[in-house]
Amino acid sequence: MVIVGSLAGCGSDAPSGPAPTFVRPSPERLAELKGRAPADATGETAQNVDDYPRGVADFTTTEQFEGYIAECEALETTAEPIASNDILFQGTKPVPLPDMPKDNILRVMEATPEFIDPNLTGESAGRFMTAATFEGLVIAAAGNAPPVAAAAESWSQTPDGLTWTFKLRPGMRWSDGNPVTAHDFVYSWKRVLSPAIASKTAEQLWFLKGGKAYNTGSVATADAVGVRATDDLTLVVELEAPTPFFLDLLTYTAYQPVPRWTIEQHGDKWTDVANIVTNGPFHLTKWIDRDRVELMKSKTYWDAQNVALDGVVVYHTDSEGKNLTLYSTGQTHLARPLGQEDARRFIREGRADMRIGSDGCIYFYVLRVDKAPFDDARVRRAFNLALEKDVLVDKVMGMHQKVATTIVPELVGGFTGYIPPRGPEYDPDKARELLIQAGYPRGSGLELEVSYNTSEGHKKIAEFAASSWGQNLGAQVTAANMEWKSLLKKQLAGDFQISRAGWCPDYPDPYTFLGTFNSAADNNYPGYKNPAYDAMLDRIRLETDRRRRNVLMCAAEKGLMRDTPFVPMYQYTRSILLRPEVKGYLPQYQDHHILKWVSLEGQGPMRSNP
Amino acid sequence: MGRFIIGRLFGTIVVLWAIVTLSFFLMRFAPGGPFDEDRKLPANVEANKWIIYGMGVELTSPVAGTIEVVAEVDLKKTVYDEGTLIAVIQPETPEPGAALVEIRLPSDAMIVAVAAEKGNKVVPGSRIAVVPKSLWAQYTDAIGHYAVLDFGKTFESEGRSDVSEKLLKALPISLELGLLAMLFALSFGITAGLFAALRQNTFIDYTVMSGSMLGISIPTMVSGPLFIAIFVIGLEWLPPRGWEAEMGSEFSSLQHRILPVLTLGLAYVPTVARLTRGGMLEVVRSDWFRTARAKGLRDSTIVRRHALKAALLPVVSWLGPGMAGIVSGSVVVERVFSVPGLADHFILPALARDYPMVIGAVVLYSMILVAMNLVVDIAYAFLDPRVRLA
Repeated sequence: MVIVGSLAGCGSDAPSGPAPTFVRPSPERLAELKGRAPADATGETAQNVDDYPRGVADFTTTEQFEGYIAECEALETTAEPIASNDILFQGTKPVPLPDMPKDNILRVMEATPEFIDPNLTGESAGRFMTAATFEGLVIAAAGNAPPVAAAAESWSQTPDGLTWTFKLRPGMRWSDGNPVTAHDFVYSWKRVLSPAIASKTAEQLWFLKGGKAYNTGSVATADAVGVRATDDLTLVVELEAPTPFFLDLLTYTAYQPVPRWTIEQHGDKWTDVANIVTNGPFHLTKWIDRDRVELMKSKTYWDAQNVALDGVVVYHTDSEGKNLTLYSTGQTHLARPLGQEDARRFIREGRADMRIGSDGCIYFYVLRVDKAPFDDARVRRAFNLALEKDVLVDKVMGMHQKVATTIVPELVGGFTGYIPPRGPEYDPDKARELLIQAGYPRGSGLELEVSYNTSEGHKKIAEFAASSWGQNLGAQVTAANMEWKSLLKKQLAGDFQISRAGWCPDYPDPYTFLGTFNSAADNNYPGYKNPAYDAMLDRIRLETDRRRRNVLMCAAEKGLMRDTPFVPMYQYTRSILLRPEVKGYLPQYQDHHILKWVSLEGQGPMRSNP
Repeated sequence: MGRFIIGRLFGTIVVLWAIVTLSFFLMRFAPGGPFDEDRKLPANVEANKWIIYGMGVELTSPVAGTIEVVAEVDLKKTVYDEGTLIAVIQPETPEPGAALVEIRLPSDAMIVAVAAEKGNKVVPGSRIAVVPKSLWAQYTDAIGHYAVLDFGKTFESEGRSDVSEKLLKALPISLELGLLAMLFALSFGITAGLFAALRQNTFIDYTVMSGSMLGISIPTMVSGPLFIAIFVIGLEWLPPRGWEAEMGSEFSSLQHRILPVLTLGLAYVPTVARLTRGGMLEVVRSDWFRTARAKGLRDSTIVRRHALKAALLPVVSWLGPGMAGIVSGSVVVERVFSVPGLADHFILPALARDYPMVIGAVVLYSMILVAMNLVVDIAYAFLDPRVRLA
């Protein structure tokens, strides 16, 4: 495949060290080498106790997981998605709002990125604009509804769930008039995976057969990647494993098509306003670096008659204070995110344009399970029990957040009909008892540090937690703030005792949270390594019956909470000031908003939203 | 004069080299890497970045075959010795006298990623592992490019934008803001300073001096939002942000400039006023000034023809650091008013460990500082005949 612009010539062509030497190792040498190889290289299974050096005696065992499966079977579970477009707060008191131009152009704010390129853009603001200008096979619906058909008209999958066939809508055009074909998707998906563009979103396509091997350089060509066009309008996709949430994955921007001819002609500059070719509802018309981006309704979009807005202006912002100024001076139709103090004031005032919606992210404190004192499960449980999360949510946060007692947010569970089990409640007496058992009576000898990245909100939470643990357990807990990259370094190196973390779903399925605590997972910050839990995850991955899968996930989460490698704190909410004329801008689990579904009342046509 | 300038330029190069070298290493010793994210990138995806930014090299298989053994390594933590075995390959067609191919570490290094998996088929060129180049190698690779002001691609743009291109896009905006603010500060400050000096110990003098005391004490991060509160939210005369006129907005580009220039300029008015007053007071007391008055010349003529030039010497010598200060001091103002100038390029890349961007920004600011000082030295010679450059 062709490599983009000036990045070509690096990649696999880069100079690669001195040539390895040819040798014939002696039998003893070979035996020694094999001794240094990882366990599976010598034919043993990963169940080797040495791979799980600490705490394994404490962790939930396979038998206990079986018990949890039985318990979860008995619970009332449903195999149907539980729809929820939760608006947790909507004010009622009308407030005067400044005049805005009535030109049917939506004005919003984002931390605008440096460029948009579906294959490279990863952060939410960039994805917001990429999702408006390009269109994949399916797109996210308004709010928390399942994805809807877009560039693909219909699709089918084989019974084993491994091969999907997509039929593209005939007659679609790029903004330069070229037809949108299945080849554009093949080119795009292989481009994401190409090591030469080093896309950080590439992992989202490792679900494709051969995707990982090509992306990690162990296979030099993209020929074996499981995506091909059998004709201009038929795309055949092969997956590594059954992936029940594959349609949701396809709404991710990395899966959007890109115009090969434009990229080959302009290289890195292909997304400049003068060069860009798009296939989405809007087209990029103006880009002023770190100031604003203008998107105008596309004339070539196949469903243009159903796009209500004439255009969108995205103002660049990087602070909550600026967001509020933009909104209150009539520059934008909405303000998000808001500062905590401001949001709480608006809630108190009950102003009609204030809304709080539910969200799929979770805030938690990671406990490093291979370091004293948290290598003892009793201490971990005690710290979870000693935190009065109701008070945290009501008094410290105060933005209608929900208490989290487990790791999967209710909103995300809802997509598969999964009801997360209830975790332990506040119980300081039991917590103190556990500490005595663990050998820390009245917290003696417990001197700990909570690491968090500098932010007023994180600070309040850290101070609340430190004082609660001090009062309830007698532990000496200090809150240590540090710069973001420094915290990341500590987290990635496992060099902390307690650390703040937030996790948002990649796709609407509880597995996106549960899988994080797999022994081999990159983001397993607590260092939780439990072979029995890994085995549960494998069973979940292979299970195709939705109800049974929910039961297994329930059992896995129960076992995980028994081991408590983290203290779940609360489920995020999203606060927004939204002018009443904006319609179709619903809360969404990833806080992603598809502009095709948005309209301005009294300006241009209205949409009836799905 | 020519020799002076050449000498200064030479000195500048040495200073810039020292700054670049220091920044290069300081940046890399700061905790956390440029590609660390809360959602950790898989090792091999991150390794792709190490390679395209020239910070790492790939160890590849020289033959077609099957991976027999892969060593267990601690990625990015341990520094391994030269010659540490990473993988053993069973070639499809063994060379005579060599049954197996070993891939070893070419020098003492960490390992960023291992792509080889036991049982995988490889072909010549397949990635086995990625190791970082040594800091020294990265430095010697980079310094030649830096010498011709090529700072490479920014990390933040996923390797798409040139550092120099981004800086050159933002520089005119910061320069315009700085120059306008400086013009404002000079015209306002010099006028106020002259009046204060010529009417020393009168009501005018006291007003100017206490006013400038107040001005010095209010930082731009206070005055900026204050002006927004008054002129944007209260009176609705001016736009709150930006630098260019916007679609569907009644505000012109000029109106976008008023508040940032006012905020930044006002911060320097007191300095200029005090320097002018001091310089003028000295002149007023000088013999030649008295002589001119005795000859019957009017005050306004003396000031215009003779005194102003002499009285401005302190202001001129301040102009160098002052202009550099105003360009870099505009960081706060640019942030408050969302002016897309250099400010963001100075702060955010350092936090994001965007190495090329940091070096570029540091060099640019150093060059502005050095250039301004040079200009002032030359201007000094023109204003004061006693100063000779050598």
